[in-house]
Formats: sequence, structure tokens, C-alpha cells
Amino acid sequence: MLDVATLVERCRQGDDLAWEALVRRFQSRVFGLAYHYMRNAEEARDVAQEIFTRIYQRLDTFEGGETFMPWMLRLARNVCIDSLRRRKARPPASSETGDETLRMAAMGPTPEDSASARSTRQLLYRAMDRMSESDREILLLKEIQGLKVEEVSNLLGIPTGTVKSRCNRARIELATRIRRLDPSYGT
Amino acid sequence: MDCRKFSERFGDFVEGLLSLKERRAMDEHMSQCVRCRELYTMAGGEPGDQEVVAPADLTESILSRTSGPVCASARGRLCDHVEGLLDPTGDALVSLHLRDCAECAGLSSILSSLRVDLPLLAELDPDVEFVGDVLARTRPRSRSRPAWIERFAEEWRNLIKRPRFAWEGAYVGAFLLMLIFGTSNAPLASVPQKAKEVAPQVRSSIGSVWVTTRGNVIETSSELAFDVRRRSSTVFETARETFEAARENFEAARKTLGIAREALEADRENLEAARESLGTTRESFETAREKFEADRENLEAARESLGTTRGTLETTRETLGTTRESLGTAREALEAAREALETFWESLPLMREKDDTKQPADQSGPDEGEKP
Ligand SMILES: [Zn+2]
Ligand SMILES: [Zn+2]
Repeated sequence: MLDVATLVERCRQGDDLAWEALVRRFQSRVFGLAYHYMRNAEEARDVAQEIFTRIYQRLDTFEGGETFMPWMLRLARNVCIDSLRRRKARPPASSETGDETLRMAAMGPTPEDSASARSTRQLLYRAMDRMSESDREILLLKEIQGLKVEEVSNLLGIPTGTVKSRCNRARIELATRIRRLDPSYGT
Repeated sequence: MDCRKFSERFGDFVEGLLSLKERRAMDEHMSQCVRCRELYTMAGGEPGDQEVVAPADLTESILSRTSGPVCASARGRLCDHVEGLLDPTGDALVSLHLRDCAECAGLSSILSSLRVDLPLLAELDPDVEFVGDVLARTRPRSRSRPAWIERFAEEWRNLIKRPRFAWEGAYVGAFLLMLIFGTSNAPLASVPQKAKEVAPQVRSSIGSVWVTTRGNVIETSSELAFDVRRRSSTVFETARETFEAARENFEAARKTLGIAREALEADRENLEAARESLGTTRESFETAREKFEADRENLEAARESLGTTRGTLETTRETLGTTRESLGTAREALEAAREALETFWESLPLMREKDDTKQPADQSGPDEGEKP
């Protein structure tokens, strides 16, 4: 499998196959992130398209030294937040996302996804739905997208210590909610 | 509990490290399983031994009287415990708490599972058309633009390349000059005519008094100069406005083309829509091209009229030459007149001198006569 740095370099040289490979490599991740912010599959799709357009336009500004993933996630987050601001009129109502959550959970990342994995995802989405925006975002960036504490700190502009303590609190909060929703999870 | 699990936990059981719940499960299994009971007996224990322990709530009641509940403290370290980030002692302390606190133990096992399950949420597959849509939106421009757009862009680039554009600008300027000077109803058409009219006037004034001639010439030519200045500034205003308008038109055309191109790129998912958009774009391009052709024809006309204008200017220059010559002649004539006048003035004292010599002679006669 080609490494990301190579793909990015080829993209900058104008190789459209490299760009296609890059899009295929990250489409699920970008869409997953967009979905977490938008809580709506249709909007998430539009936003994900916009994110890739932005990545394409900004590839020249990506410096080889840094890691692609944090760079991409930062850019993606900015697009998501812009979109959220634009539709600010609509509240992040958790009740209305219920059906949507089930539908998205049913979609799954892979076709051979088992029923139990699907119900797990459904449970996690439901538990997170009811959490605060900031708790959800920190879980999204650190626990879900797997960014390092320093990367999250840079991205959100808060000290690393705060990232750690906030993230731990959010994880306990999530675990508590999950146990309330499904006591059998984790046993 | 089965025998396998029993043997797995047997060591901890003997050491007394199991939780109350687990110890009970072990006891329960031994009460049903002869082999495991024998194993325990061999290790020196008696079935039921472990039952003799402190009441389950003893620790809690002590804590509530001393330090207060400790779960909050345990939960503060739970995440680090799950990730193995605690120092050995701290980790062992959390483990001990978890052994006896079902609440925290439950959260701990959920946190462990979340470490595996949350990263699975990072990816979510969009629909199968997603990649195609992204590629359609981001395809390199040079490959997505049809050849005719390339050709138009090339033509436009050539057009605005400095020398040629400047020459064509000059043609437009000449065309405007023709409109202003060249035709009978043009705003400054009367200027060469006026110059012609001045010439005979100047010529006829030769021989008349200097002041009159000079007054006429100055008055007429300053009027003429003012007129030219005023009208030419209007001409340049008009020319500049025309150029501004033309440039705006070209800008607008280029923007329209840009918007059309974006629409074209975005609408790739629907071939029908893209084709329609292409048609519209081509129409607007055709219109633009027609306009361009028309402009070029106008420029040709302007170039032709430049010759005419140049001829007119030549005539004007000749007329002005004649006028200048006439003025020279007039000045000479005036010079002559002044000389004549000066001669006349010079002759005046001589004439007066003649009269003067007579009169003093008559008056001095009697004075001289009285003295002797
Ligand atoms: Zn057994
Ligand atoms: Zn506890």
C-alpha cells in the first residue's frame, strides 16, 4: 500500500490517479468526521465533498514535514464548523437524530460488518447524541480519530493538560451513559 | 464458572486476591465439581473457608465515616488505568478498588471496550458515487476543460498581449478621432474650417491699423484654442469611458465563462445536465465570439478611417502654415508702417526747429538794442 506522503507528493505533481487514491483512502474517515459534526447523513455528504475540494485546493500548503492526518482533520473540522455556523438556526436536537443514527449505524464501514458490531455502533451513537458539543468533539478527535493529545491541543487551541482532563471526563461520562443504555456492554 | 476458569483463578483464589463475587463463584463451582474441590483440598484449603470474611459493606461504612466515598478519586484515574499510564503503585490501588467496587469495575470494563470500539466510528462509508463526485469537483482544470474553451482562453490571452492590444486600442482611438473630426456632423468638424476662415481674415487685415489686426488675430485664435481644448477634453473623457465600458464587458464575459465552467465541472454526475450546461456555455461563447468579431470589424473600419483623419489633419496643418505666413506678412507691413510713422515723427522736430529760429531772433533784437 502506498504511503500517504507519496500519494500527496504525486497529487501535487498533478497525478489525478494519486488524487483518486487519496480520496478513496480517506473518504470514509472524512465522511465519518463530517457525520459526527453534522449529525445528518445528507449534510455530512455535502460537507465531506466540500472538505475534499478544500483539501485539493490546499494541497500545496501542506508541508511535507507534518503528518497528513492532523492537517486533514484540522481542515475538515474547519469546514464542518463553518457549515454548522451557517445552519445555526437549527438546534442540535438529539431527538430528531434518533432515526438518522440508527440508519447510519446500519450503514456501517464494511459490508461484512456483523450484527453485533452494528448494534454496538448504534449504542455508541445514541450515547454520544446526548452529550455536550465540546465533550463530543474531544472524544471525536482524540478517541475516535485517534489524534495525539498535542495535536488536539493545537487543533482546539487549549493546553494539553486541559485536553487530557477534559477527554478523561468525557470518557467517563460516555461510559456512564452507555451503562445506563445497555448494562451488558463491555461484559 | 467452569473448570477452566476455576483453574485460571485458582492462584488468586488461594492468595485471597479475588473479589467477594468471584470467591462465591469459586465456592459454588467447588460444591458441584469433585475434581476442583480436590484441587483446593490439595492446596491446603477447606471448601467454605472463604465464606468467613468481613461483611461486604464494612469497608464502605468505614470510608463513609472517614475519607468519604472514594469512587470519584478512582474514576479520575480510571482512564489512565485502562491505558496503563499509571505508576505501578497507583495502578495496583485502582485495581484493588475495582475488585470491590462493582460500579467502578463496570465503568472500567466499558472504558476498555470503548478503546476498541470508538476508533471503529472514525470511518463511515459514504455512498458509492461519492468518490466520483469528488473527482468531478476537483479534476485538474486543464483536463476537464473542453478544447473549445482552451481555444477561447488562448485567443483571449493573445488579445490582451501588450503590443497587439495597444495597436488595436490605437485603432479604436483613431476611429474615435474620425468620429470627432472626420464627418460633417462631428463635434469638432468645424475646427479646420475655422482655421481656413481665419486665414483670409488675417490676409485682408494687412494694411489696416496694427491694433485692429492684432486684436482680431488674438481674439480669434484664443477662441479657437479654448474651443479645441474644451472639446478635446470631452473627447478624451468619451474615449476613456468607451474603453472602460469595453473592458468591463470583457471582464463580465470572462466571469460568465468562469461561472459556466464551474457549473460544468460540478454537474458531471448528471450527464444530461452537464450537456445542457455545455450547450448554454457554448451559446454564450458564440455570442462572445460574435461580439469579438464585430469589435474586430469596427477596428478595421477604425484603421481605414485613420488614413482619412490623417489627411484632414494634414490639410489643417497646411492651413495653419498659410495662416502663419499671412501673420508674417502682416507683421512686416506693420513694421513698415511703424517705420514710416517713426520717420514722420523724426521729421516733426525739424519742422518745429525752422519756426523756432525765426521767433527768438525777433525777440532778442530789442534787448540787445537797449544795452548799449
Ligand atoms: Zn471444576
Ligand atoms: Zn468505585
